[in-house]
Amino acid sequence: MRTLFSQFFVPIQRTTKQPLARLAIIGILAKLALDSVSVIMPASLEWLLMPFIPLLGIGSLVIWVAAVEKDEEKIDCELSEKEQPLQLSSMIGNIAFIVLIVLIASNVTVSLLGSSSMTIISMAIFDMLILAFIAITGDIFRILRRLLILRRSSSTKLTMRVTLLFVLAFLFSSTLHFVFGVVDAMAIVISSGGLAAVWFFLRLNQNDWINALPRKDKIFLLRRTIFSLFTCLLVPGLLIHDSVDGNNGLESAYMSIGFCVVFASGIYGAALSRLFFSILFSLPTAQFIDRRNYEVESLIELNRLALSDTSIENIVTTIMFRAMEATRAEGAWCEALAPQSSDYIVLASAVLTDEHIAWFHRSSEFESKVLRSQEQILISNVEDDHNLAYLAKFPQPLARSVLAMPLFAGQKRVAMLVLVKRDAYGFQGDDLRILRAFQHNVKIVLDNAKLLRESIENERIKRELSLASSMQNTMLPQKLPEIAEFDIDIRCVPAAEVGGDYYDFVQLENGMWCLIIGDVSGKGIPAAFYMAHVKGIVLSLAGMAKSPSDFLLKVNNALYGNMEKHAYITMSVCMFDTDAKELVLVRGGHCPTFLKQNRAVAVVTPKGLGIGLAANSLFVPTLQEMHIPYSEGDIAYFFTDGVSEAKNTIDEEFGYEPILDVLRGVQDGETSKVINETIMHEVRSFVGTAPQHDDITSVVVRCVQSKAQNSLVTSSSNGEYQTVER
Amino acid sequence: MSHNFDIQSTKQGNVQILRIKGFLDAHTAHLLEKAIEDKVKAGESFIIVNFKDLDYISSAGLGVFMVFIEEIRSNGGDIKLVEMKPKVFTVFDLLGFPMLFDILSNEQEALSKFQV
Repeated sequence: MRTLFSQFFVPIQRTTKQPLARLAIIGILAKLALDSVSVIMPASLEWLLMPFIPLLGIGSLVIWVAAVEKDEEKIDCELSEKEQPLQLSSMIGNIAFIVLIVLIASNVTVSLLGSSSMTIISMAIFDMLILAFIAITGDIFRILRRLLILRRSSSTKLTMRVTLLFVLAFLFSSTLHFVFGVVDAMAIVISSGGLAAVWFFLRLNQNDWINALPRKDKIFLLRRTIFSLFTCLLVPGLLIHDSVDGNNGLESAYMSIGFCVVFASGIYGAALSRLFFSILFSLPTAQFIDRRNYEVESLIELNRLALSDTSIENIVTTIMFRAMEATRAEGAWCEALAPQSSDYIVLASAVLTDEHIAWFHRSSEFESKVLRSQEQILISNVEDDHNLAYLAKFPQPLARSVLAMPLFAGQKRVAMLVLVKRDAYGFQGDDLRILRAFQHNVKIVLDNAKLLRESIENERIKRELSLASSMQNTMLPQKLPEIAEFDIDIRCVPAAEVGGDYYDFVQLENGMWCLIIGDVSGKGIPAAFYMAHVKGIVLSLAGMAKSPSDFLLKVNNALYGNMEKHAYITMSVCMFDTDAKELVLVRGGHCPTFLKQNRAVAVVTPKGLGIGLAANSLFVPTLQEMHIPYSEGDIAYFFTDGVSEAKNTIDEEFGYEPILDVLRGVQDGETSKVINETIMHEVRSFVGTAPQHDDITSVVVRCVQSKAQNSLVTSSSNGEYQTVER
Repeated sequence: MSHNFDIQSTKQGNVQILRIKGFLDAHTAHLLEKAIEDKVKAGESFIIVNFKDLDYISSAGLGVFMVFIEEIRSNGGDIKLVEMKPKVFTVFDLLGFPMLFDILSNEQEALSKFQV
């Protein structure tokens, strides 16, 4: 009821928004006023008003048509949902229904009041009827126009103009005949009206849109059209019946309006009957059109899926329902098979329960023949194969025809889609063909989803690595401590995002500063993880250690047995003993230390095992602590194997020699920073464009001042230092 | 960074000999680990690893030998390393491996040590 109500008001509402239509309404209201006056006026003066009454009504209609003509200019190619042909056509049906209701209601009212004498009330009702009819006529005319110009051709405008010409001819001649009593005009009335209807019927041949409608919409539209057609015939019938009764002048004026209505109904009738036949003839092919529509829709939906970041499960579910729709299957499920075992995971199912699906899996024959197939399988009748006949024997028959389609992502079969029908021979060859076309698109969607997922995963890992990298950076000292008498410079260049190199400064129990440089075996996340572990151990043990060797054996004790067997750490510890004026050096399997003293450069390699390789029972006896007296200008160089094993593009190693050369060439007064920069420059120019495959840590320690020259320095000619056994 | 790495295994009496070739680093270490693991699982306790054709070893490569040594020694066996190039030996030496492993000059020497 509500929709009917709004249907009635929409055209009127739309009418009032157009300037021309407003004019028409003013005209109609003026006519109403004239009607009222004519009742009060003496009958002898009525003839004065007579021409105005139909002319105003007819004028309103003409203005209306012109308004509609103007409306056409606004129509562009994009149709809103309300302007789709189906909606437009069904609107005609609704409006026609309203007209019928109003007419019947008014007829009843008029006959109750007495149809022979025109009272002011019956006249007013009749006027209201005309008003509503004109508004509705305009709207129906507009709708027909829209339908007509859906497939606009060069002759569309001509059709409309000619129709309008017929309309005007009809209006003019009927005015002549009915109002001024020109009898001969009746022939023009009938011929122009008839011609207009025939012309419109013939020209309204642009009904292609009907072909594209789904079957159910066609049937809906057919019912609407029959109804509208029926109303179109009924409306003029009722009007003529009413008008024929009257014989005074005023009523004959109304008759001209009545004829307008008849004429308009004729035109609608022509349009509607044309529509009716178009629909009727397109019904037999509706199924194929439906299928074509379905294919286009699936393609659109699959494309949408391909572009969204939805999960494989979502995609598979959509595909399953789409395939069900396409083949009109009664049940379906989609499962992923474990590659070796016979386990399966149901990704999605429709109608069928887990129990049903388990029943399908009862036979290994079905599993091997259908569920693991690499190609599409169609079983038209399971009862033809005694191995599969069990499928029809579930408490209720489960499936007599089965259609299975594997889904691929890349070369990999990701899932199996199974469609079933209860009837034998339920699927046709055509269904198989459709699914095949479908399968290709599905593959694209799944490929896309897989790629998308991988790139998201990559992005996540990248983010985590960069987070790990910045966390690791905070584990290295942010600021070097001020150590009296020493000028220290450190460079650290990680290879990947995170690395296994470690350096730190700690104070031992005696308050002496120690440089720690270490390298965790391996690379990447595992190495970084151990490095964090080492950092914790170093910080907690340093304050308790009496000497560098004591410190190292404590670290070994803490780590041995607490790491994976293949993991170990190399570490050198150098204590700056500013009281004894010596460097105390221990080496746990780490790279040697280079020393420059008195212009001689030496490679210092105290004995010591890598940390975490052996228990302290073996570690302690083999650990050697070296005490190296220092004086102003002495240089100690510490590094990790990332420096000495830096490789160039032809896989040569940087080695020790270039570093020793740099140290030999150091001039007095060169700061650690300058020296380290020189070494790093050498490394960079050696490596060139080759990728860095290991972390690089490079530490230059230079003694800047020392109060007393220590004469205990003993340096043998070959550069080997005497060592003090611990 | 796909360097060649290859393992050839032969058996002499109850001694398993693995001849390794190419680059032993973080990318190839798992291959050697798998090879030794297979031998240990098969009950082999006397293993010689020949480094004659090994050009490079990294820290990750060294770690492999630590994985099984305890188990093998507890079974009364050993892993002996032979014919290392000087450069490869330097890496083992820096880490103190000579204190943990028998590093010998050739297979014969290792075999005779196993016989004793």
